[in-house]
Amino acid sequence: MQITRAKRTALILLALCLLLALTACGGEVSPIDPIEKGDRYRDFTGELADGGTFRLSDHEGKVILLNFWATWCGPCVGEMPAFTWLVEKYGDRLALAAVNCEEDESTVRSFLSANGYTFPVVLDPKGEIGRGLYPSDGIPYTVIIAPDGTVAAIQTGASDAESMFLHYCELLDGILQ
Amino acid sequence: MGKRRNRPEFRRRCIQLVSALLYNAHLPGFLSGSIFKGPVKGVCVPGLNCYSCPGAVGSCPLGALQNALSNLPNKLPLYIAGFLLLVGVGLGRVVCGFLCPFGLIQELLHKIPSPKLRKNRWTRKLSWLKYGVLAVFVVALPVWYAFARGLPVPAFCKYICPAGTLEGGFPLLALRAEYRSLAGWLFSWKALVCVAILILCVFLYRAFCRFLCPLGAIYSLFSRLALLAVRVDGDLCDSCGACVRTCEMDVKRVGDHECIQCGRCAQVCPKQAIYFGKERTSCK
Repeated sequence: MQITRAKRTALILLALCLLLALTACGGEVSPIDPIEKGDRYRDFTGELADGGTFRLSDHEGKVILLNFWATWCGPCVGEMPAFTWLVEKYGDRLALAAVNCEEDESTVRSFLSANGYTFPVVLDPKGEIGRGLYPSDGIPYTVIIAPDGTVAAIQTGASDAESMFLHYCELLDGILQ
Repeated sequence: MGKRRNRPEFRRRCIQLVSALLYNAHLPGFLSGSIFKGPVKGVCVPGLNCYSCPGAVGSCPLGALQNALSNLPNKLPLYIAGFLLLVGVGLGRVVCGFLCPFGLIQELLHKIPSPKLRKNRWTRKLSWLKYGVLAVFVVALPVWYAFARGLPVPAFCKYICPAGTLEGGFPLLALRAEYRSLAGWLFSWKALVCVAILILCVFLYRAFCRFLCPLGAIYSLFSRLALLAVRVDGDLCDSCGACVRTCEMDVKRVGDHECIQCGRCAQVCPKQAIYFGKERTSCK
């Protein structure tokens, strides 16, 4: 009787351990390693929310700020005014694009029109650009690319728009000097 | 005699440990400081377990609820509402007693030798605070920000949750240097709240569960409906009150909304009138 009970307990524990191991192994396998400072940028072409196409390589030679965001992400939405200010401040010296992470067109468009943002927003409903080329642990995720095409800075997470604006200015001024 | 008496408690502890391990099965995350994002992450675990814990393989139901409310009015929070209803009706606060890692952590902290603050009418009054936390931080603030500002603000996660700080904030900052620059006054506040609650738990049994936990507050709404619960056989009970006296939660009777369904009362009942399970039909 005791042996049967012990066997049963052992079997249950074994099953749980197997379940545990399988769950842990079933993690999302990213097709590519996250980009790092000094790496060359990963080119892509995407559809803009307001129509037209955005190709990253068209902007080589400028400082490029690539931001990955979603409407459901509080800090992403919170820092967005900073992008309007950056575009105003740096003009043609900066190419800025905010890549939306896997939301449908209508969600993105209604968000943009409700908030009046006019900087380029790239749609990425299947995650081909975000998860496919620029995977990260979380968003907002911002990659700053120097004029020579190499990654100069990476920023994960954000606080308020004012602080992030100052932070990005510091990074951009450092590259543009 | 001691062994037989402690077997239910031993079993409960095993279930708590196994569930904590299962919720956080992504062990490689603790080495690299990465958050698991596989397909099963979309499934909620029933207890309080932060999504951002490097080991977490599922979502926290409170985090999911706040984020779902933040999508109003465009999307309705049907998935999380369904999940909470299902778990509430099936298990109610059995989740608190058996399936919540943060509840386990509090119980283990309470084992640290120290003077203990016993429950009294003030702790009973304070136990209503968690409904306020639920109403304001889990529901009202996310809904208000969603409608008024279109801004997702999971206010309980953001301003209060000690489980998030302990399981997500501290490990991620320890393992990933690049996140440290983001830790400002808000993190300092959360760290203070977390440490204060953990210290309080040494002196006061399950202080967070009793006074602050909005998930416990949600499940407590199902205390009379839950299929699996601790119940009293009225035919056997002689109202001696040993159960309520022994219980360290702020219960007025076995199985009320403060009861975490741990079953300790069943072990002290001199009439063996307390049982675990579905309602027994009377034989009379």
